[in-house]
Amino acid sequence: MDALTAWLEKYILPIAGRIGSQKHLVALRDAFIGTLPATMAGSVAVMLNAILRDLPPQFFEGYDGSTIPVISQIIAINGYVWNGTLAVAGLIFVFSWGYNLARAYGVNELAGGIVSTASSIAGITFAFAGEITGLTLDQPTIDAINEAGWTATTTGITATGWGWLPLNNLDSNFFFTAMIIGFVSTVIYSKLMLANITIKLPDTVPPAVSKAFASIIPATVAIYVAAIFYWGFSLIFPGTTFLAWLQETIALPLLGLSQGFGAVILATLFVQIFWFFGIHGPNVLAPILEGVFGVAQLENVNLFQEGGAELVIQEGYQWVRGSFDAYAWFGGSGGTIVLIIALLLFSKRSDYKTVGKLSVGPGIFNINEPLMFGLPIVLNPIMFVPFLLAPVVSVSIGYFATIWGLVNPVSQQVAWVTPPFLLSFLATGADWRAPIVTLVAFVVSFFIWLPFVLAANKLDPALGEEEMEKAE
Amino acid sequence: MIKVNSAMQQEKIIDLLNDFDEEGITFTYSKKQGISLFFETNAEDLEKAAKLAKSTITGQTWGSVLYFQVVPA
Repeated sequence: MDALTAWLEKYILPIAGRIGSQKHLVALRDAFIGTLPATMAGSVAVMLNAILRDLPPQFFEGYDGSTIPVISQIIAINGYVWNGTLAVAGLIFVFSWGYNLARAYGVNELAGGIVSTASSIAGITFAFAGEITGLTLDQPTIDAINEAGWTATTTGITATGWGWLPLNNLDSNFFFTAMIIGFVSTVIYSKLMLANITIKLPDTVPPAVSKAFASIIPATVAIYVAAIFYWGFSLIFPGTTFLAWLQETIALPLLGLSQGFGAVILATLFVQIFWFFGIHGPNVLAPILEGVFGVAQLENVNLFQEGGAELVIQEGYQWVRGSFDAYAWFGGSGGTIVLIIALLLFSKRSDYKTVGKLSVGPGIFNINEPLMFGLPIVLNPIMFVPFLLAPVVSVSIGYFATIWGLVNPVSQQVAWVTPPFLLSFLATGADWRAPIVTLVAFVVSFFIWLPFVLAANKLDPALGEEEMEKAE
Repeated sequence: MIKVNSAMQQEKIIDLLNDFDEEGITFTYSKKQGISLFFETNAEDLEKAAKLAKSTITGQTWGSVLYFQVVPA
């Protein structure tokens, strides 16, 4: 194990370190985290509506929350919360992205957020168009509609309007456009700021004013670069926006790739391997976990709001960021709460039992640091196999249960410290079957961990007693 | 005394904390047990010392991706 650790330190850790500390990737991770106040508020609203509006009809026929006093008001209020948060999650993200990128470069973060937002929005459609055909319209109706600004013929109506931002351009669909355009424009802005191509005002001018003025030239250049790009794009690809093109050619295929069983297992394995060797797995893999699976989750949340679990099943993603927490990482990465149970019931080692008892409280909230470093699990050869195998098996159980329709896909954003079973119940929009799937994964994980706990009993049981004496 | 549990970069952690001198707090490497590194410290508030040590390690380029723990020993 020492040789392996040395090899990892020499060849893998520097790469992981470069990925994990690369300022743009760190900014991206922080940008996703920065949206949490809004996305969690929105998720609470959607979850409350799931419990008040969508769960009861599964058990009570004829239940309609929108007709029940107090409940109907709460549902309406939650709708407003959704409007301002998840409905425009992409808009919130693009500001956070520019803000964090500018901070990474050490320049005016507020201006960075503004530049990123302005540049990214500049290229989305500002008009709507819709068509109804198969009608039979008389001339007065046609004249009235044409006069009002739409276009009518004897058989149809074409509705158009300018000055409307479509919501499906500002929600999770906006993320990939924001990541690219927001990145380029904020970097241009930042580099011009660092090159001092700015308007300098006298020292007597208040800082807020001089900071804003200093950002004018870099921001204007950055936004113009984005505008010129959009104009060029419109010449090459007329009839579509960059956002729509990006969704179709890159975002949706990438998100689709993430849904494959292989991709899910690979992500699980890498996270576990990193943890085992003392590297922060989710931190290093944040661009994948948050940038791909996280975006998929936001899409699911919005679909749930629009049409409940049925719409998520039809049009959403089967495996998202929260699915890992719901079905595999109960007690913390590795599904270690079952290890705690195994230790308390079957371990004969005093040191393991002591650590197990100390880990129960944090484990209920999916915090397993006491266990990871207390047993330890990190770099402990006995724990390597179950630490990798148990989550892979659990993820498989959750994955196939979801794609076979035995449980709804995860469609709610739930804090990862929510106790197991409750987490999966809430994350699936109050699907009562989800805790059962978690329980199955729980039991299977338990029997994966158990042999290794029993094997550890055979290794120097007296060691446990010595450690106990030292601790006392 | 504080304990740093880290599987990786143990030598760098030892060098970093041995050289640490801020807010009057210093660390001196004492011993190693598996993944645990023990440091003597002149700090009276061990929780504060542990937090300082943790933030110092996390602030390093190589530290930001480490999964490690710092606790009073």
